[in-house]
Amino acid sequence: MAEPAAREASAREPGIRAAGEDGAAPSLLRVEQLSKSFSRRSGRETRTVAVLEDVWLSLRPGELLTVIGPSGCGKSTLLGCVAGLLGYDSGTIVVNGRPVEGPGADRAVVFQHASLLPWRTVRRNVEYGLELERRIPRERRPALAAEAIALVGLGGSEDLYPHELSGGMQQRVNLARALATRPELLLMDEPFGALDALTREAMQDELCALTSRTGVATLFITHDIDEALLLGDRVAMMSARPGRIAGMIDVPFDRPRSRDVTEKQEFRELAQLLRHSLRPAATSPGEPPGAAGVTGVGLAGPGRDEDRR
Amino acid sequence: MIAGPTAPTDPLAAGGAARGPLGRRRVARIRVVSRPERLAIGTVAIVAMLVFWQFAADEHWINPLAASSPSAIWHAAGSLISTGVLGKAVAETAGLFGVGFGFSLLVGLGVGIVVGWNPRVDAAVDPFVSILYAAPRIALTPLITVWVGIGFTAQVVIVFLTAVFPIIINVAAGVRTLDRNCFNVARSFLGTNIDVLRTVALPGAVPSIISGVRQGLAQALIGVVVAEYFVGQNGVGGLIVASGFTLNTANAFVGVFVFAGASLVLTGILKAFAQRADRWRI
Ligand SMILES: Nc1ncnc2c1ncn2[C@@H]1O[C@H](COP(=O)(O)OP(=O)(O)OP(=O)(O)O)[C@@H](O)[C@H]1O
Ligand SMILES: [Mg+2]
Repeated sequence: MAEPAAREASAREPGIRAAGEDGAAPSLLRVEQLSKSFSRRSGRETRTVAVLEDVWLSLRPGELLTVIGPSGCGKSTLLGCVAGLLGYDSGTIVVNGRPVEGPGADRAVVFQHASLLPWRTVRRNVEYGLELERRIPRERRPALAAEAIALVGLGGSEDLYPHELSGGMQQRVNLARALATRPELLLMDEPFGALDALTREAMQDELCALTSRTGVATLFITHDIDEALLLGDRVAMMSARPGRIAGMIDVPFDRPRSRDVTEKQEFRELAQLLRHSLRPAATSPGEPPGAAGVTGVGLAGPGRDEDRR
Repeated sequence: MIAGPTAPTDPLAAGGAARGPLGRRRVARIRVVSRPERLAIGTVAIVAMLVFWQFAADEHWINPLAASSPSAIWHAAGSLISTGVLGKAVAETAGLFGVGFGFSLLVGLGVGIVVGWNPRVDAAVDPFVSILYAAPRIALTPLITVWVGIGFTAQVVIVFLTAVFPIIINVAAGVRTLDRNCFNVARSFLGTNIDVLRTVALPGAVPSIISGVRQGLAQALIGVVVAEYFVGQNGVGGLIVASGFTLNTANAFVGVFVFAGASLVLTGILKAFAQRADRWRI
């Protein structure tokens, strides 16, 4: 699983990859004890709401980890912290041995809303990241952009403006814009959530193929159980208020996967298990405070502590 | 579709009256007027008005000395042009407009961008801009003549003051409303403040900038008229005032039409420019 990513990384610009990973487990991303709260002023007093508390995660090179949880549990916040777009209160986030202190060229975000620049064509939108990062000389940008556009299957639409694209095509541009910068870690925040069912399935299939091909490690946020199981090598379940990783599932199907796995008995059982674990009644109210942060909570089967510390 | 002449027509498709429990009524329809039709109706209206004006003046229904007439205005225009009076006046007015509006554009865009981009500058400048924008700035005319005399400079200052504030206000508002999502995209790609301004804020502000320039343009024309009326009495504005004093209403009308025409042309140019800048929106 790690080989294609390693090959990919060494073929990249020199100097991007940090040399040795510490310890035996080569993790591309390590999130340890992450806590984040928002303070909100209501009238005179300031109330602090803990959104993330004691979150642990790790991601191996080339791995696709899906994070699933109820709405408002802090998935986007977690992703924002890893992307370096949000600050956090305590804990550590390490990407490739370097602590995250802000946005970085080693990560690229595929946003929940496509957020394309409406006055730029598809091509110029895909070049946007390359243009701002300034790592790649100007004359090499069109080639990289064209490659990313081909990768997401948008060849021929380079000169269209965003308003001329369907929602699915806009998300493809969003994805291509992130891929064009050749990130080591792709951060995707419910990128297919707003698409119709058919388009979403097509995009899932393509992402399956695409991540296997490029070997880029991906943190993929979703609230769709089937999507989490279909795409993920592992599925992290988040519980709400405060958000933490309540369990981790190893998905026992080889990648690249076809959609056929969703028909398998084992897949349906895992989906059923996830569904039960994510029901609010199954997790939050009866749960004793101080339950271990990472170990599977309310999970009978494959859920287990994933993070090797 | 082989509907013969006696084929029953669908009352709804025909857009006509429908018969129902409420009796006959004309149901609302969207009324569309084609471009050529609009143009034809407008031309007819203008011609009818001119004919009526001429007829009323000829018949002395209105005082020709006060109201003038289309033919008198036509002749006045001819002699004003042939003597070179109008050409000189238009040149003076165009110079004043060009310099005054040019300055307003430069300062309005510059200040507007800085004010919209930097919240601290905004906090400092906003009270002044708001007050001056709300105040009738023409009221400052006597003060301006005290400060800078009654020459070309005073005229430029008047035009500048009337035109600059709508530009500042609109440009600042456009730059201020930064798209949050696009801002985060830029940040995720390590974009600097200048990058965000250049690639997100300014292109997003184009519609506001254009509407600011449009308002500034209209205000600048008013400023030009005021400046020429009260300071210097030259240019087309001066021509109108002088003609009024001598009861030469035809000449005054020529001046008014020159201003109206200039305004139409300038707004037309701006409109074409705006469409070009906006072609990604369609
Ligand atoms: N800027 C903010 N200020 C205050 N509270 C915030 C802020 N951003 C998020 N929150 C709160 O943090 C919690 C988690 O938000 P977040 O957007 O991470 O949820 P989510 O899991 O991504 O939800 P969804 O699936 O609906 O996108 C929410 O309860 C929200 O109210
Ligand atoms: Mg979210």
